[in-house]
Amino acid sequence: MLTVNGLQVAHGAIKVLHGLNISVEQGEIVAVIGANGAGKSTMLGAIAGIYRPSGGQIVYCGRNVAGQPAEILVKQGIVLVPERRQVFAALSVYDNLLLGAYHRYRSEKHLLPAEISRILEMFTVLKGREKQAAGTLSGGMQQMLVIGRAMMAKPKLLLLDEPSLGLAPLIVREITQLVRSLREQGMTVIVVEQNVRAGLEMADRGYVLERGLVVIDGAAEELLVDCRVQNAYLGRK
Amino acid sequence: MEGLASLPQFLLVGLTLGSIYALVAVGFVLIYNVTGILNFTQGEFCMLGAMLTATFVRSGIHLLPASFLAVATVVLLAVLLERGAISSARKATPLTLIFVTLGAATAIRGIALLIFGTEPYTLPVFQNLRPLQLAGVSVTWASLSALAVVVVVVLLIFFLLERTMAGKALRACMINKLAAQLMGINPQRMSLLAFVLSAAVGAVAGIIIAPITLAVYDMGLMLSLKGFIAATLGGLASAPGAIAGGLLLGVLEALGAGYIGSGYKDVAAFAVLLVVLFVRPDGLIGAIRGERV
Ligand SMILES: Nc1ncnc2c1ncn2[C@@H]1O[C@H](COP(=O)(O)OP(=O)(O)OP(=O)(O)O)[C@@H](O)[C@H]1O
Ligand SMILES: [Mg+2]
Repeated sequence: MLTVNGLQVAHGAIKVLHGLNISVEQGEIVAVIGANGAGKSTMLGAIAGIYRPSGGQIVYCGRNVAGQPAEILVKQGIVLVPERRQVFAALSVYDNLLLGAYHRYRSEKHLLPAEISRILEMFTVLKGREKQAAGTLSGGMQQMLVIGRAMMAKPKLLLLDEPSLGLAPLIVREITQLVRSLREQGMTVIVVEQNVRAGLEMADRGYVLERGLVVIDGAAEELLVDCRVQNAYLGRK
Repeated sequence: MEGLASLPQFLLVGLTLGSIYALVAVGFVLIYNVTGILNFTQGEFCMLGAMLTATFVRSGIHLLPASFLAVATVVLLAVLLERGAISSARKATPLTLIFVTLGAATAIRGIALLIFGTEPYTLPVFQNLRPLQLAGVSVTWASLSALAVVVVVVLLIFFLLERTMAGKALRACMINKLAAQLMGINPQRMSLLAFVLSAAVGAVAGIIIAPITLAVYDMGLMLSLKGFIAATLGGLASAPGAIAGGLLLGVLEALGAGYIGSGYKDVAAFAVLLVVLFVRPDGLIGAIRGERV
């Protein structure tokens, strides 16, 4: 479904990705893990159309989409949930969800109330808070809200940037369950995590990123027991 | 020295003036939060609204169609300005773009001088009606109609921002441009929408101020500055803040003029700006309310 080929991205004069290769099959959940500043968010941003690559290809559903702007890629099914839970703080939970469907509002307006109800069934913590300003929700609820908002966009490829960041272990577990349930709905997901264990537990396959390059890849269970991963990221028990 | 008895009269004058500043300030806030630009053509939108309406009325068109025609013309100009000068230069820094708007404002003022001349225009509205006497306060019909129009415009703005998808998208873009873009909201389209709205609101502000203060080709500069001060006072982040800032500034000015002397009217406004910028660079009311829009 997605093949990233020799992707190069720079922020101004600083090169962050130097020829990155990853590929994702339809229906897969792929974790990309790596330390602070490895270039994980930059990679997702390039795939979602926030950053313009200086080289390489992003082939999505058979077409090179590198360099297309985010607002176009959303319509084609690439939806990014950026790091730090970017809710529309002053808007209500309901309006946040509604805006998730912005790109198909004109054609499918009449379907949206029912879809929002369905999302609220899935994210029960948000139920009864439809009118509450999103900025007043707890961190965990905000994370649920931004994932729900992204689902309102009907993604084919969902990109999650550090969904567990700063959340309590119990909530991290809930998010893990949630991402797994997305697979059952046939969604394809790339999840970026610094929390290596959480990331790999969500995923089928994983990539380890270091300084803008893939250094290890493999099945998620294998990476969880891989001694290089354990030494560098999990702290051997 | 005036006594306390004149206070209601000063307050009325202040609220009338302040409601006009409020509209200009709303324009500032909309454009600023969507594009990062302080648009100093805002006051020129008012001037053109006033001058065009007065010109149309002079040529025999009725006030209402004349106003619509003027607003439409100003909106068209704003579209040209946004597409021609702002959008095409959007890679430039916001500071550069602020200078672009200052330049555009100067150009508009120059062209207005050529077209309208230096003579002040009147807009005859309710001139034959005697002011109402309400509890010792003399209320002119021009002032009353100005307040009524402002209330209607503010309600329309809130309906648009709170109830329509385009308005929600605009607010989303004001709050978090990145997240908005990731939902498929095109920031350039929102920039255009912000300019259109601000121009329309600005033109209306100009039309309602014309019967009160007369319309002159160079009235825009001061209105831009007052609108900017009002918006800053309101925290530069939300429409309600801008409206509160505008009303507060109008009242402060009226009190300054009434109790100290009319020469101090503008001094009051600029003193307010300096105080706000020194004490709280992100505005007073925004800081108190602690939220945006
Ligand atoms: N918008 C930007 N402008 C300039 N430099 C940036 C920008 N975004 C990221 N960088 C730099 O690029 C490098 C990679 O950043 P990136 O955010 O992709 O890393 P990351 O793997 O997501 O890290 P983290 O785990 O902290 O989120 C860092 O050195 C960062 O400072
Ligand atoms: Mg990151």
